[in-house]
Amino acid sequence: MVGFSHGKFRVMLLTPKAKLLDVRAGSVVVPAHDGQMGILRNHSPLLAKLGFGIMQVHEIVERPDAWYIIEGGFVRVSENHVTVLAYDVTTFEGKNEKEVERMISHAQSVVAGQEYIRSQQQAIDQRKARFIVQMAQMAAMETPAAGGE
Amino acid sequence: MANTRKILQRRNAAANISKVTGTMETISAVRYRQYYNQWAEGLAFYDSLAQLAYLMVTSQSRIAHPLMDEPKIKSQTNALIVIGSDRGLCGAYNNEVFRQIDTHVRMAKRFGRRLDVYVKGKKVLGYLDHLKIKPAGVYEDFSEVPAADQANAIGDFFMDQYFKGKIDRLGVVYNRFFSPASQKAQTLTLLPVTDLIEDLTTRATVIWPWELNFEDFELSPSPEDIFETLSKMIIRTSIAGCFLEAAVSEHLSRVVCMRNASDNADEMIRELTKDYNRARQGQITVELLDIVGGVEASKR
Repeated sequence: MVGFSHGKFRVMLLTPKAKLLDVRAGSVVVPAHDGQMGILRNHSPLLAKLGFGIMQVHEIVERPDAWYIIEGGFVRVSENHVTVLAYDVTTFEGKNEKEVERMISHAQSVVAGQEYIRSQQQAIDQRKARFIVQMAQMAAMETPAAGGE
Repeated sequence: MANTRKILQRRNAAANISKVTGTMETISAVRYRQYYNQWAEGLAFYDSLAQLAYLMVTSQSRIAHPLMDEPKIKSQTNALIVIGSDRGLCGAYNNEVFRQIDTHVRMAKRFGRRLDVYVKGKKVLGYLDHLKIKPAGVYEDFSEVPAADQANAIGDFFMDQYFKGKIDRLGVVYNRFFSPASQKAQTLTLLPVTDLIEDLTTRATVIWPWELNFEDFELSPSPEDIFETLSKMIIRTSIAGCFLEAAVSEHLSRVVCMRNASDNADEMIRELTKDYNRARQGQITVELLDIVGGVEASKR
């Protein structure tokens, strides 16, 4: 099987309101209920509950790597198809630079403990904020230009 | 003179109506596009969910879970979520929902069950008032489609009631959106969850993973835990889906309705213009005859 598929497999990220991702990728890390779980090609069939965390997709065909904050859901792996079902997903994709910056700075202030009371009124919680900051770091480290447009 | 003025008045009234219906059509058409895209994008999610449900219910080993079994405490209560519209002018959209409510009310009476009705939409509230039924709850914190966490909260509320034995069944009355050519009011049973899974797994649009068994999969955590999480996800997202489908149907039915109304108004305007021209011409002819008659008389 080497050669034609180059060790890639199909990855789909679905929510009730959108199909966020349908690509071929080289590796995926999903936030399972008990910790991060890496998936490569020819993974055995798997059904797992997802927790709250960052999903990473690497070595995507013809596009940069992607990160998503998942708030619970499911992953199904079978026959080199990885399907992630999530209630709601937070991502930098499809947002312009300004929106991303605002999101990150807001998250940073929440993580730093400032504006804590205000953040309780606005609907972003501490854990999600921490993940947004973490995701921004990942994006900045691996592809300096990514996360912008 | 009086005749032509009356015709003009009627023509202006028709033109105003046409303007209003045209605007409503445009607004609903934009909303419809927006919701329709969401619906179309979400299809893949619901298909995958149905596939997982299929794998669960066709498993060879028995999964023991309170959601899978008949409830032990019988409360004799049905809960019903009714999704209608806030505004009218959308054809038979609400009437079909009302007919479903009638059926549920009669059935509840026949089988001696209590009916708790939870309402979305002012038109439905009005109808329940007419039936002298007091709604158990009204959803007012979102306009048409709930956000993910709002839908989850609704789902959790009913699951909690179900586990506590306060309700035996939960149904949603809404206009299901099958395709742009077909929408139909129906009741979708969400609890007990086996009924919902039955509905999901008998939909013809999904490609079933025939070649796979539940036993083929590594599971993390236990099957019971997976089943619970999956059932919760099915119920919560089905509620979100029902609201979305209802909104798509509402706006489509309003678009169709308003387009017909605009067409009718335009035809009326055409007819009235014709009448007005004829009347005006007739008046001119009469006046000309008067003048000619006057000239003839003065010659003599």
